[in-house]
Amino acid sequence: MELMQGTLDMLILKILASGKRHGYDISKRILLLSNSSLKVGHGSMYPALHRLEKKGFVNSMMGETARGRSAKFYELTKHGREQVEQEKQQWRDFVAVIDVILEEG
Amino acid sequence: MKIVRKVSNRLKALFLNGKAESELDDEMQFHLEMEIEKNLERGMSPFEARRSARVSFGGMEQAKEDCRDAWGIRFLQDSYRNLRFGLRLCSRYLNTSILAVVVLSMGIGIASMMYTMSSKLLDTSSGADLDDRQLYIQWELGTAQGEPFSSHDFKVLRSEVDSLEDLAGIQNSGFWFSLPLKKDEGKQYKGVKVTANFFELVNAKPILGNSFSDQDAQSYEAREIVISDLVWADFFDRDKAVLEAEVMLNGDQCKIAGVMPTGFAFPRDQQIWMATDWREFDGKPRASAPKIGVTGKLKPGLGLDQARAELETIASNLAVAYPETNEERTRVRLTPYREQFVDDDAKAILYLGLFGSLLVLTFLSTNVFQIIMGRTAIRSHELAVRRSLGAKRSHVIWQVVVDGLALSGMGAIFGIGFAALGLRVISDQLSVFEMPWLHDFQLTPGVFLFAIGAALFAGIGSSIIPAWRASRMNSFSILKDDSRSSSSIYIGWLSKAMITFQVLFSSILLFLSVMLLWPSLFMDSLEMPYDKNTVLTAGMQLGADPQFEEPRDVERLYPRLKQKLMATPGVRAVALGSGKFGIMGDLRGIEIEGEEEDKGSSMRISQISTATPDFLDVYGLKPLSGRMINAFDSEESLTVCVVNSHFVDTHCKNVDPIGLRLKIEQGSNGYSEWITIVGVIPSLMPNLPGTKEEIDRLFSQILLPFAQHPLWNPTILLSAQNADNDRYRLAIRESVKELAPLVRFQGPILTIGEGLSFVSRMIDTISLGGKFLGGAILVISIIGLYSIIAFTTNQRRKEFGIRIAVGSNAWGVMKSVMRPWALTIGSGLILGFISVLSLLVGLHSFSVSNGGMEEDLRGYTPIFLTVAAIVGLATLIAMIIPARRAAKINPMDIIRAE
Repeated sequence: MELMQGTLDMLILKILASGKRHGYDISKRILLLSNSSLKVGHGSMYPALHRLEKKGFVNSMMGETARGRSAKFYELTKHGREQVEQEKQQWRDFVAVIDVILEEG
Repeated sequence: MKIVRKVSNRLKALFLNGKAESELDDEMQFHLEMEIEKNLERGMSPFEARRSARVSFGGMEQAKEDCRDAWGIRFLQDSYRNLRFGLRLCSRYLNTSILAVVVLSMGIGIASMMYTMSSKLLDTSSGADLDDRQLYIQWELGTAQGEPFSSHDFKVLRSEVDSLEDLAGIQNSGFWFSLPLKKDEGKQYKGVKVTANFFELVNAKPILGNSFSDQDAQSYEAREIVISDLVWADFFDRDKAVLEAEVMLNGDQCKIAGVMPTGFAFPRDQQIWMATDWREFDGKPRASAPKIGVTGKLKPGLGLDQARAELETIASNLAVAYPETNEERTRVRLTPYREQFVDDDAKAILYLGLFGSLLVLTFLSTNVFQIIMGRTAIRSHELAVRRSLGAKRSHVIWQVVVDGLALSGMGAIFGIGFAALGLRVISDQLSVFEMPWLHDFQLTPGVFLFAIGAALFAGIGSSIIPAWRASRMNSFSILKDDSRSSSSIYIGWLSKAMITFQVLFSSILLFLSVMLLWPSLFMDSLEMPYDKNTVLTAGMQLGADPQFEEPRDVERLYPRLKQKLMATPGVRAVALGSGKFGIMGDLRGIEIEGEEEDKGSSMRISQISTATPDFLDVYGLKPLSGRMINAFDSEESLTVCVVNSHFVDTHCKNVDPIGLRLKIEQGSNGYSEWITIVGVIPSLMPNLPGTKEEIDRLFSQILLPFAQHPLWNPTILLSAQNADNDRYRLAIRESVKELAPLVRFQGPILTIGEGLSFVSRMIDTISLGGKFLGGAILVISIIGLYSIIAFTTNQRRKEFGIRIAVGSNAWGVMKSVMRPWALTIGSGLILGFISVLSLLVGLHSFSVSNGGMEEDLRGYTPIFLTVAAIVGLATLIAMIIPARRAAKINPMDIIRAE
């Protein structure tokens, strides 16, 4: 299933809400949580991470993976946490409205 | 806070760019390796694992580009990278880079010079700190120029006005400055007599010493003067002991009270200031009072209307009290001082200067456009590769524009140097005039900003179209068939239109530059009907001396003055005359007896001068018929005049003028009494070009006897073999000082030849500018045309090689190179001719509607032909070099390359 436009940022923020992760981990996590239904193009995930960092929703730092390899990790900022809640609420409202239209239609 | 974070992120990204790039690489590599490991764990071969990971990731370079976009410094990074790339390109295509930089530096240099000179000429503050409350006040008589106040009127206004903080009077004056023991080694300076409050009113303070006190204006013995930095440097080598030094000013002893800072030359280009209150004219007839400029400062909170109302009330009272001089002077004109000398003409000069700069910039942009178009076409393969690798259209556009900006940046650096050099040459040329506003051209911060603006205009203007066209190229076609597709972005209607415009602009600009040469050629060919270096002229101001109660009193001075001057060895004749150099008179309406009043009334004008009987002796001439004015033509005798040959040819065709009577217009008082013509004298005027009718009308002259029409400001005319020798000037100064110590001179004492060379020098400078401009335009034109013709010829190398191989001769190849351009260049020449003709007709109609003379435009034919020949030759040179190169192609080289 292709991701809907504009939802990648929200998913990344949600994944990072559980703790700091590197890019590869984030993409695997999305795949796992969606039961392999959502395939995130790596070519679009990294620009999205850099965009979120520029907006101040995430911070990046170099760290070590469980296997001792050096990688770039991302974590949510305070501003990012607020953004996750805000986007979750917006998404629920959006889905509810679409549901109403679909049911009524 | 958000903005601070954004800026800090961008700066961090910009300055830590190397680190960010390396982190980005590591991040992508890490992702790829993790995916490979996962694939290996799944049992794929290493090769398959790597291939699958790469396919799954997608375009890594594109992902990196998108990440860089997300950093928000893409534009700056690209610009920096493109700039470095642009500079590398310059060294790679050295020939076109040098051509472009030469064109740009010339264009930016010329435009910066035009801007510097126009802005300098329009700066009327001359170093004074003026604000909008500083006003210039004159009589309003409904004419284009207002009329200055007389010293009598000024004093009344100054004592009664309340809406202005104070009024200062200004009277221009020429000063012969010398040291007491070296009277002959002096120098003539422009100076000004002012009221004691002058410096205070224009917010100016001396850098050394003091300005004037009220006592200075009242003391007429050992007067105190303030000098400019220029005089201080000339005579005292900027020694601080200058204060209280005794100096001679027009032969009078003075003391130096202060020295003004560098650049201060207020009100216009003055170097010496002397305090006065014009008391010597108190009690004298009002008509004899000197005219003085008046400046005042509006009180805070008051408007121009309030000040005008108050001044006009005072003026109305003056008109009642002195109807003979003030009846028509009841309205005043108030102008902010800063605008006073920036009138419509000056504004027109500014707009013309700026328009000229824009024209030059547009012209050079057209040339650089051709060069950049050629470079872009050559680079089309490389741009296509970049596009294929994911660069957006905007990136390609910016890359080409930065190339243009790199060239124009270098052009601006050399252009400023070029402008500095050009301004130095012009300043040196004009420095003899001692007018800082005319020659002290400096590169101010404003000029640097202008040059930067010009570079941006030229850089962007010349590269935006090539950039836009390059961004629309089909990368696939370019990579498939480089040469054909790349030339397609270049050769087309746009390039041909540009060539046409280039020839058009060259023709117009060259025509203007040749026009600037014309006055110099005219001055070189100017001849007077006598030796112009044998007549010395000195304008006197009799009203300054109380012994002269009316102009007629000069008759008491003149015989003794003549006797003293004639006693000077070498002096051949002395006379009194009027007007500039004693020959140019006032232009007035006349009425001739027997003529109908309204018949051709617009034709009935003549120059009116006044002279003593010995006037013609000064020029070594005799009357042509009748007699000259003589000693019997007194106040009591019949009023008579003599006329010159131009007058006869204009107003007395087929009639003997001797005995005819005429009347002369006397301002608002109608016409004079009948005046009888008693003689005809030869013309004293120069041989101007034009039809005989035009010249006769322009130089028709009536000479009145001084005894019947005495003047307050007569001109002494002295004839000697080498009249420019300083001893004759000294003789005039010493003699006048001995007989009438308080009489002042108006302006410097010059021979007619010196006066003309003063004008000639100025015209030569304009002519130098014309040569400069014309030369630069020629070089720019040849470079621009050459670059496009050379490029297209190079693109057709294969075709020419084959032609030569199948037997075409050199001339056939050359014709084939030149023929396609002949029509384009020909169209440009025809359009240029039409534009110049329209410009001439427009200017001529404007001039005639403003009272100028009708002129035969066929007189411009030599200029047209000269310009057409020059442009034709330039285009021929631009075509012939690539054509000859094409004719020398070795077919074997072409076949081998294939």
